[in-house]
Amino acid sequence: MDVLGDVYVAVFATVMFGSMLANVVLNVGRVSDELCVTRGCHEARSLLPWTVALAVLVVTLALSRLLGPVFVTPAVGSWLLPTPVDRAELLRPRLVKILVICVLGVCPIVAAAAVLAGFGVGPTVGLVGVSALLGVAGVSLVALAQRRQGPVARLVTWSLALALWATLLTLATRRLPLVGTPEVFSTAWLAVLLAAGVAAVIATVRALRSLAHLRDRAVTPGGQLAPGLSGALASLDLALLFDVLLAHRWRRHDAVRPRRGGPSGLGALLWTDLTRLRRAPQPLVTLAAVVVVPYAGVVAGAGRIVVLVAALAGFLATLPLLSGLRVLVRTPGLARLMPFSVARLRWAVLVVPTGLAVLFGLACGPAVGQGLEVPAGAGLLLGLAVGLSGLASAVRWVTGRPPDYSRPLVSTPAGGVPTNLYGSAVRGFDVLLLTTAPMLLAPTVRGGEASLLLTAVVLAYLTGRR
Amino acid sequence: MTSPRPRLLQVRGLTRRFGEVTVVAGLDVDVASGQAVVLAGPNGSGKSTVLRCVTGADVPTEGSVELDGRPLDERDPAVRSALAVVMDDLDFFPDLSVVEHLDLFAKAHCMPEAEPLVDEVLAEVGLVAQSGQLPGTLSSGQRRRLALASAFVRPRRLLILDEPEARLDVDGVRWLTERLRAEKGVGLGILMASHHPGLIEAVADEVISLGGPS
Repeated sequence: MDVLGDVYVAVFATVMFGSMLANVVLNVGRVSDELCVTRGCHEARSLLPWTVALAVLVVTLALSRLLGPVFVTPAVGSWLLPTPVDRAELLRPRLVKILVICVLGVCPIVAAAAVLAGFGVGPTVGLVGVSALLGVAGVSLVALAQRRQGPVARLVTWSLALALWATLLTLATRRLPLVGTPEVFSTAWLAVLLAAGVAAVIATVRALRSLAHLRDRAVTPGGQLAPGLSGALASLDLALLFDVLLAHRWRRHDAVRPRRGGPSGLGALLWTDLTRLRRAPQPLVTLAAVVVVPYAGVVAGAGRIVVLVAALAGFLATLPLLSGLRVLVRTPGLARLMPFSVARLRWAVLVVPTGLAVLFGLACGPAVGQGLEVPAGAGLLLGLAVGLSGLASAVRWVTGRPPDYSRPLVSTPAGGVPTNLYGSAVRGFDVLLLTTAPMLLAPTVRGGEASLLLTAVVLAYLTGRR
Repeated sequence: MTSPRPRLLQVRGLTRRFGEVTVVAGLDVDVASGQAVVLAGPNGSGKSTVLRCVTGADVPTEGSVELDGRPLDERDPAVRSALAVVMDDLDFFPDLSVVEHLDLFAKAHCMPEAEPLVDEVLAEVGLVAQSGQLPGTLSSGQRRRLALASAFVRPRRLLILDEPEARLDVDGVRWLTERLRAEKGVGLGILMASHHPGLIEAVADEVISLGGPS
C-alpha cells in the first residue's frame, strides 16, 4: 500500500507541476507573440530553440563526462567489480537508466523553447526528437570513450560549446539571417530525425557492447563523485558542491609541471593564482567567451535586463577563478599557516579575479550602455559595476557557510530544517540583485556609482568576516 | 647555574565543555623555549581539544592562553609567524603541487632563500619524487609528511603538533624524532599530542597525562 501511495503522489505531483509549467510556457509564448515586434527580437526568438537544444546537449555531454557516464557506487566497486560477475550485465541497466534520464531531461526543455519560439506542433516534435536522439548518441559516445579514456568526448563537447558560442556571436554581431519559425513537419525534418535516430542506435549498441571492457578505474570515480554531489545538493550547500567538483577535477591529474619563483609576502598568493591560470586557462577562456552574452541580449531587445544578464554571466564565469579563495575559506588551518589577517589573505587571492572581473566589465560596457541607453563613457562605468557585481556574487557563493544543524531547526513536513538552508539556494543571486538594483532603478552614472559602492561594502564584509 | 629558559606559552585554567560533558577541566600548561611538552592520554581525553583551544581554532569555556605574556590571538599576524601548527585536519589546495605548496608557505613568510630551503625540507621528508604531484594523489602518509614539511619551511618559535607520528612509517617516525630534538636544540618550544611511547620518551621534557571526559 505504501508503494502505491508513493506512486500516486509521484504521478500526481508530476502531472500537476507539469501542467502548471506547460501552462506558463504557453502563456509566455502568447505574450511573446504580442510583444516581440523588433527584428532583433524576432532573430533572438527564432534562434532560441536551436541555442537551447545546443546548450542542453553541451550540458548533457559535460555531465556525462563528469560522472562517466557509466558509474558504480563505491559498494559495488568494492564488492562486485572484483568478482567474476559479467561486467556488461552489471553495467547495462546503469547505462540504460542514464539514457532514459537524458531523454527525460532533454525533451521538456527543448519543447518549452520551441513553444516559446512559436514553432508549429510538427517542428516542435521534430526538434525534440532530434535533440533527444542526439543526446542519446552523445551520452553513448562518451560511454564508448570511457573505455579508452581518449580525447573524443572532450573534443565533441568543446566543439558543441564552440558552436553554441558562435551562434550567440552571430546574433550579437547582427550577422545572422532571420531563421524563421517552421510551421510544418517537412521532409527535411524527417531526414534529420532519421539520421539522428541511426546515430543514436549505432552509438548505443556500440556503447552497450563496450561495457564488458570497461575498467574498474573508469567506472569508480563517478561513483565516488555522485554521493558527494547528491549530499551537497540535498543540503543545498552549493559551496560544498564547488569543493566536490574541484577535488574531482584535479584528482584525475597525476602530476603537474611545478612552477616556481615569484614574489614573497602577499605576492606569493597572487603568484599561485597566476600559476593556476597558466595550468588551467579554461576559466579565462570561458570568461572571455561569455562577454558575447550581453551583446546578444541587447540585440534581442533585453533593454535594462542586459544588466542582469551581464552580471549573471560574469557571476557564473567568475566562479571557477575563485578556487584559491574557496579553499582558504573552507580550511582555516591552511589560512593559519600564513602570517596574514583573514581579510588581507582573502584580498590577496582576489587580486587576479578582480582584475579579470574589471576587464570583463569593461568589455561588457558598450552592451550595458546600449541596453541602458546611456553615453559610451557612462556605459563603461556601468559595465565596470556589472563586472564587479558578478565578482561579488561569486565571492558570496564561495564564502557561504554550510547549513548549521547545531542551531534551532524549523519543523517542516520533510523534518527539521536549519534556518539558513533555504537561503543557501539563493546565495550569490541575492548579492547580484542587491548590487545591480541601483543600475536597474537609476540607469545613470549615479546608479553605477551606487552599485560600485554597494559592491565594495559587500566585498569588504565577505572578505573580513571570520 | 643555568639561567631559566624564557617562557613562550602559558595556559591557565583551560576548561572546555561541550554541553554537559567537560572534556578538559582547569588545565595549566607552560612551554618554554627549547622545551617539549607532550599531552598524552587515551582517545577522547581532550588532547586535540587543548591544542585547538591554544591555536585559536576553538574557544575555551574558561581559562587563558598567553604567548610571550600576552593573550594569544591567532588573528594577529605576529602570532601566526610564531606558531607553526600541524593539526590532523590540514587540507591543501587541490590544484597546487607539493613543491608549490611549500614554496607558497615559505614565500608568504618572506623566508630568505626560500626555494633552497624548500628543496632541503623536501629531501628531508622524502617527497622529492612527489614534488610535482597534486595532494589528491598522495598517500595518507605522504600527505602527513607534506603537512609536517609545511611547518619546517617557515619561521617558528613554537611548534604545535597533533599526533605528528600518525600515518608515518618507521623511518618517518625516526626522522620526526630527530627533527623535533633538533628543533628543541635550537631553542624552539614544542607542544604536541602523541600516542607514540618512543617519540614521547625521546622528545618530551614534560608529559601531561589527560584523563577522559567527565
